[in-house]
Amino acid sequence: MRRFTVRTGTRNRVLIGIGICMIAAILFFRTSLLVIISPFERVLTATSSSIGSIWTGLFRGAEESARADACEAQRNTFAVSAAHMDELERENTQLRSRLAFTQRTRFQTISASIIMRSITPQSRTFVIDRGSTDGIVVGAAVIAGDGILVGKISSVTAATATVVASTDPSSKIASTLLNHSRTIGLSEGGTASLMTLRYIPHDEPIAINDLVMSSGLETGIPAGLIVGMVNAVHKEPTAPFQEAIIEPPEDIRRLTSVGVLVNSL
Amino acid sequence: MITRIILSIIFGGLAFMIQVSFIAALPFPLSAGLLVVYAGAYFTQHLGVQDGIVWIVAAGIVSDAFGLAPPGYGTVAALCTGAWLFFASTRIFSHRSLYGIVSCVITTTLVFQLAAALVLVVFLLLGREIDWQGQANLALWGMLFSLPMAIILFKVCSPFRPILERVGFRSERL
Repeated sequence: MRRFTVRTGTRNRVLIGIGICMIAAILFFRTSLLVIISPFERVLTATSSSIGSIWTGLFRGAEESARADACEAQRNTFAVSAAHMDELERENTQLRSRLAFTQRTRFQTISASIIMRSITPQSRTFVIDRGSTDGIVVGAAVIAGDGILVGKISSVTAATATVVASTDPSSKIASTLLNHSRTIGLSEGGTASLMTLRYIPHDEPIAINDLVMSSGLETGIPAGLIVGMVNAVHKEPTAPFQEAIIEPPEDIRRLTSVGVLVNSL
Repeated sequence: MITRIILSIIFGGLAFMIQVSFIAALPFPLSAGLLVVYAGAYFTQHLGVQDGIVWIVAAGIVSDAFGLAPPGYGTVAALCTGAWLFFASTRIFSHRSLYGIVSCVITTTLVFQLAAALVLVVFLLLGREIDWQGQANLALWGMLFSLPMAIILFKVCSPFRPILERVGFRSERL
């Protein structure tokens, strides 16, 4: 091993200077900094998504990949239509009994681009380029496409907001199962990219491919947003409740832009 | 001095931006790459300046500040990695050959993964559910990518070393 000495004075000054500048930039100029860098990050995210599609195509085969994508898009369209129909039906009933129409229309969508993301087994979060100046608040619903719930706002700055995806282990969403009895439960994120609807009594009927929607019992998240579809049902006779494994319709890795629902009232 | 600080911030910021915007959106296993760790370890070992340690630590703090990782995960793992990288680059890997750089990058990645696993053990003790299989997959691919990335960085960045030395990134080793 070669012995060497270090010019500690100069080195420490430079390192402390860099460290202070970086932390100051993060803490005090985060908003301005992100406004400057977000266009580059949007380009990087879009490029990465394209490469991701090519990568997937390489392993699936181009034709099969296109067919799978088309099927996925069709499934999502059907899911949206079914959810929309159901919501319309329910809304109609509600309107007849009382004037609750405003509940449907009091949210407006703000479009946002994803500029950073972290998708690991322990966390599924992303940062969007809209913040409190655009009216975004903590707890607001984040959607993809036409009403697919992908997460909730967990923290917000003037120009950015952090979104916890619905599949994140810390995520909990008040949900309704579209079965005959409209089972209400809590969709919890898990360690895999799936969710679990827990605490469902054994007498509640659950079928594979049943739609799961937001129940509207949570502030900031309106009813009728698609949370996912039932992928499997865990029913053990000795357990007090059954569980439904829910598959989200959107992969957050592929998303480049989302919509944030804000209360317009 | 100012040029060097600005350049260092640009390099570190760029590596972090590519990590969280580009690499994170790629499909698994490509998303397992840890560019900031690889680049930080390479820079520290090859140029003999410790800016790479600052990048790694700053990236950990920023990840926590933005909520991109569970609270404390990024900072603690990055601090442990930074401490190891300082020790390894000044006391263990004295050679700036390809072998020295590759060894430094691989061991730094290993320390990052071990530190991350230790933080997860703490989370487990605090009652959080941990996906150990997923974490092991991520760690394994992160380790596998460290070898080609160290070689690529060595081959690509070596020609720029004289330029970087001219703007102030001179080795602090004598």
